[in-house]
Amino acid sequence: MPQVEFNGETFSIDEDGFIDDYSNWSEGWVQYVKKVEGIEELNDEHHLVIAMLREYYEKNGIAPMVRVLSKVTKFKLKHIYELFPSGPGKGACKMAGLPKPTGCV
Amino acid sequence: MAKPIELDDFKTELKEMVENNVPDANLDLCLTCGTCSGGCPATELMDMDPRKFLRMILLGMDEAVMKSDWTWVCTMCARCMTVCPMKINIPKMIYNIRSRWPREERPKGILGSCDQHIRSGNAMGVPKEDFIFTVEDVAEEIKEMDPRFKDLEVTIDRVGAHMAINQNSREPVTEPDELGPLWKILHLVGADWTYPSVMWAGENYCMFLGDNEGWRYILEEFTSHIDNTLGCKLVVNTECGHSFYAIWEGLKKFNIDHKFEFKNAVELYAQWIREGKLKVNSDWNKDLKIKFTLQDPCNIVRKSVGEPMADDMRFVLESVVGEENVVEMIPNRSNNFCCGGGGGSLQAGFFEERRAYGKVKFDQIMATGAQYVVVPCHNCHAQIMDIEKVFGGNYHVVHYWTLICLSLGVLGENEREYLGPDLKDVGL
Repeated sequence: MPQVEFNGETFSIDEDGFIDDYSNWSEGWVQYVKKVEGIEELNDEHHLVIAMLREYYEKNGIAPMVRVLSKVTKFKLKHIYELFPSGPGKGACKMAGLPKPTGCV
Repeated sequence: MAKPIELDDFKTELKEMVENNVPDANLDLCLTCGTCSGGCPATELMDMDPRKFLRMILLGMDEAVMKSDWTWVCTMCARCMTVCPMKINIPKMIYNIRSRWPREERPKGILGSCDQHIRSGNAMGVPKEDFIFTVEDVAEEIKEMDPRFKDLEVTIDRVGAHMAINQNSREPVTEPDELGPLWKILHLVGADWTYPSVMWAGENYCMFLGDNEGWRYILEEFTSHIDNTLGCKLVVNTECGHSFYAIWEGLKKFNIDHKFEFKNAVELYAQWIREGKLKVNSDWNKDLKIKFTLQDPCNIVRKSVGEPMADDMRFVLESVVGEENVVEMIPNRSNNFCCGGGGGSLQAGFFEERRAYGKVKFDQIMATGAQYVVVPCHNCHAQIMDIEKVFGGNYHVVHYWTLICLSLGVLGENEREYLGPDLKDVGL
């Protein structure tokens, strides 16, 4: 499994760049994905999305449907893309430490 | 040129297994002509090609065959079989090799997708109530936003509906705005349709996994729900190649008794245009002269319906964008090259190989000079978008439903994610 180093921390990632294990997530990982995704500044809205994704994942073992994410955060999909240019799956879920979604993503 | 085979062991177990399971895979018939490899986009990836793979099985190199990840790089697109003078069924040979891998050692993305589907009715693993919420939420939004669709009816499990739609979960889960265009088309032609709630997602990664039991279970549950609970006379697959093939092939492979007729959405688009129910025209593109090419998904053209599907794909596209604005890729139709996104490759993890596989497709697309690639398949869609980014292309990838609604003047502002700037405002 490939490894990346960032600010003194080492993370194992899968082929799609998702963290190998949910439990290895840290603030350092968030900063790493922020850089990879080209996000300039993380604001409260980013943190709200990440917190919601982690809470849903811990309860259900998967990422939520986009509309469910929108409902809980009150953010339209367009705004989620503004926050995470790679989108909710490949951007936000990655930053939140969730595994790559299964199915036709 | 692939390295020569080194033979140090001889077994016949794999050969016998393949020949027992696939009647049209008599490997002894191979003339070693190499035509299969000449037309295979996976040739030379991982120093392998279809002829070499087949020869290794024939030479009893079972251990080496079972260690080769090429099994997951081949997309089972069947171009090899089509050109084989002895018609050896190489894709089914690969399928059976996949089914022999220890289950836990198969690519985790494909395995996880299959397991999620068995557990939850869709490969993404979302709860049924969330699917229902999303469908209702998107439908309400369309009704509020566009008065022409104030009577739009989107139901789940409506007993007695004529038609059931087999929906890939990608739209409801990750891009819900893409649901609307198909619903609008169904509304405009007056279709009497519903979604099933049991195995509601059309994808079938168990097929990619080589998991007969899983593939069969998903299909039997789905079939039973359609026939025995809903009583739908027609099942229509949305614009998704492998999910169409999973039903088309699975019903025969597992000899599943069913009462419904099974069609692809593109066949119905063509039928409705011919009947005058779908009043599309290409006037919007008369002055713009935007060029479109189309990708023939292996699973709905070469591997199943064949030329009639290729005809329908062209008839619909020409009706919508203008015949003079359609540029063919070469080769095309049943002889088309797989894009490299099939066979579960987008979840198999072999990035470098998948993209090298797709380079041929990228070059074919670029040679057309088209600004858009139209494709009724999710895996083709994702792969063709990916290779555009990786190899530096300048085209967009769209579904049929987007262009049909654009042509009808009913495509919403939020339903244009895959359109380029040249079409962002057309018909608004």
